[in-house]
Amino acid sequence: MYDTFLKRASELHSSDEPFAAATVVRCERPTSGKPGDRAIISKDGKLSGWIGGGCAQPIVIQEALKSLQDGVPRLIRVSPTAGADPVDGITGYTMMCHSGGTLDIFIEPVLPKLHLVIFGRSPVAQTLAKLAKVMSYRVSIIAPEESRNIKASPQTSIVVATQGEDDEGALEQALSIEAPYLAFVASNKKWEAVRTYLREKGFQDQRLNTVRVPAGLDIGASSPEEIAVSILAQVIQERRKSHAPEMPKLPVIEPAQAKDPVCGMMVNIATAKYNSDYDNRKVFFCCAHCKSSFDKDPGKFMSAAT
Amino acid sequence: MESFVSAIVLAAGGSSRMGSLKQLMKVGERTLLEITLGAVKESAAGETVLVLGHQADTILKSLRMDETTKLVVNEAYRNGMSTSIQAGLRAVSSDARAALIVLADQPFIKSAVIDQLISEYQKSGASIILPVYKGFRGNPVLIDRSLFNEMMEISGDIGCRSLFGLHSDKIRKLPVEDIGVLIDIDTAEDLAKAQSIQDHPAQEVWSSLQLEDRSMEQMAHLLIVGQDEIAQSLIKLGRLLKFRVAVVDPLITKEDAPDADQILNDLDLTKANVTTSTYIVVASRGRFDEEALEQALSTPAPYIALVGSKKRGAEVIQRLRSVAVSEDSLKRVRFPAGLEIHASTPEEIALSIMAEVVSIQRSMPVNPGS
Repeated sequence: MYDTFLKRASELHSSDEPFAAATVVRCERPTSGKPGDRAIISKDGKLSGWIGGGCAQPIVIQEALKSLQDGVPRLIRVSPTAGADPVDGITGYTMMCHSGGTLDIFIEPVLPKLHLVIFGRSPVAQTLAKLAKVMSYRVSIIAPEESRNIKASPQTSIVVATQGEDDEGALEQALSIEAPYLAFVASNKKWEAVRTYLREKGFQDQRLNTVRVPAGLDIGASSPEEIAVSILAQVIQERRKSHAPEMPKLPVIEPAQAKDPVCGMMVNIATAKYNSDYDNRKVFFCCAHCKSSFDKDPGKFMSAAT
Repeated sequence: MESFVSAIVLAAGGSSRMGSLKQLMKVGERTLLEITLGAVKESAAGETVLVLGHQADTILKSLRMDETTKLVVNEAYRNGMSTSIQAGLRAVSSDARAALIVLADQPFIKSAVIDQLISEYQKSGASIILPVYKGFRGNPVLIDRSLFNEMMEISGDIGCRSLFGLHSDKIRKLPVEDIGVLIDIDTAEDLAKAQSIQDHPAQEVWSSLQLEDRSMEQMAHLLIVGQDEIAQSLIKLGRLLKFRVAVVDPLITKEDAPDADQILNDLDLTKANVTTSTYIVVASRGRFDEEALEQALSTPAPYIALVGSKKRGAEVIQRLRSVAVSEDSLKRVRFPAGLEIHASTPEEIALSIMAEVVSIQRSMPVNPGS
């Protein structure tokens, strides 16, 4: 069990994929999850492993995806009374429908380090490398005329700072790496000249338009140190931006949700297995237990809900 | 019975790091809590109210309680320090004119400091008295009975600080010579460090600069108040960006910040030689933000920024307003510090601050989001 967890974690880690690790740290029986049970939630919301059954799973997935967005670990409690008895530092979820016990689950995001690939040995390149070390980023430096196989991931950012030492060669190499951020430290005039060459080499305008020239945020940078700071600021900004649009696609904020009137949980309508008809409309439940409670006395829940 | 000052010792907190109870951490032969209680007993405080909460039974067993100590168990300690203060206040005898709020994790508080606070209270009649060491605000805080009702209204994990903004006119800051008022202990490492600071009192000003070295003097100057992770990253980044870096913090040493050019253990910015090329970042995390900003605003620094959330920043500004800092001055404070690039790690926040500093230096203030 633990082996599988570690293996999956190390696979995702080595391929620079973000994931969240969830561990049951405490339970009040009866629960199906027990302390030490754990699971990995990948960024597409897939859970592998075991942290307890039924309704605990969608909650863990939802919180895991949130933790990937904000980078903050959290402790959650799934219990019949969590909502009524809030505890500082624990996000409580009221859950009527599972076995009736309490699960405390720790969820920790594991975000890959940003990988900064720097072409060149100019003062900007050198300062960038030093600053990136302070930032605890992974750094690769590629000297002019050197060629290296760089595996791109969503965390890869490339800066070409050759500054006259075979700019073209470095850019050709950099363009062949599919990284979300590529900047060229040069003036617009210089870029126009290099661009013509790259077009002749067969690079499409569509691709060339993604190259950031001049490199970095426009903060009036002029010294190599200032340019390096402006570039890192842009890298950070772009990284957050590229993370942002990815998230709404995830099942975190699904418009097609309905509230389970028994336990109060939001249920995904498309995948809800349990529902009942009430007052000419459909009511959705997270599990069989909620449905049967509802069916016994629908009026009780519907009046409470309004 | 004549009127007196009551000491409330707060030891209800639930932070049991590394599995051991902080209150029972040993300092030499005695526990943290015993030492703090001992100092209170030796002082001129007329009674001691001990507030326990987290693992109250275990802690009680370790203590030799005498009949002069009133014990209160705050069952609601999880809801924050405010609830423990309130539990203590309810137990304060009706003869007490004021209460001293003593934190149990401050084992270096000496009874002499407590006596100084009490005697200052008797002399000045101020409603709030804070000990201040070299300009840095510390604990314990003395509160007059007239403010007890207000203390009963606060909530969450805040202490006396919540009152400071409302009653700035009634606050008396009492300079003391004992660094113990600034030292609180969370971990064994804190303890080791605190002991070494006690043994080797901090240097006035340490500086690697030769003052006659004009070229250094002309360098841009980064002045950082505080020593958290953001401050630590700022020191390194500032150095790489060829700034002259000064750090102001009561407890920081050369070893903590090898990349700094100057270390000030006084909160006295006149010693830092602030000029129009000094960029000031206040990152004390609430410990002495107001004092640092107040001083910063009386300098010609072109950049004064406060690290922290928007919400906390607004609270700090509000407190500065209440001590009659002008609106024009308050506009100079940038918060949260740093360009809005959605920085999240301490290192990234530090970088966003350096990017903002560069943009101010180059007179290119930007809003990269737009």
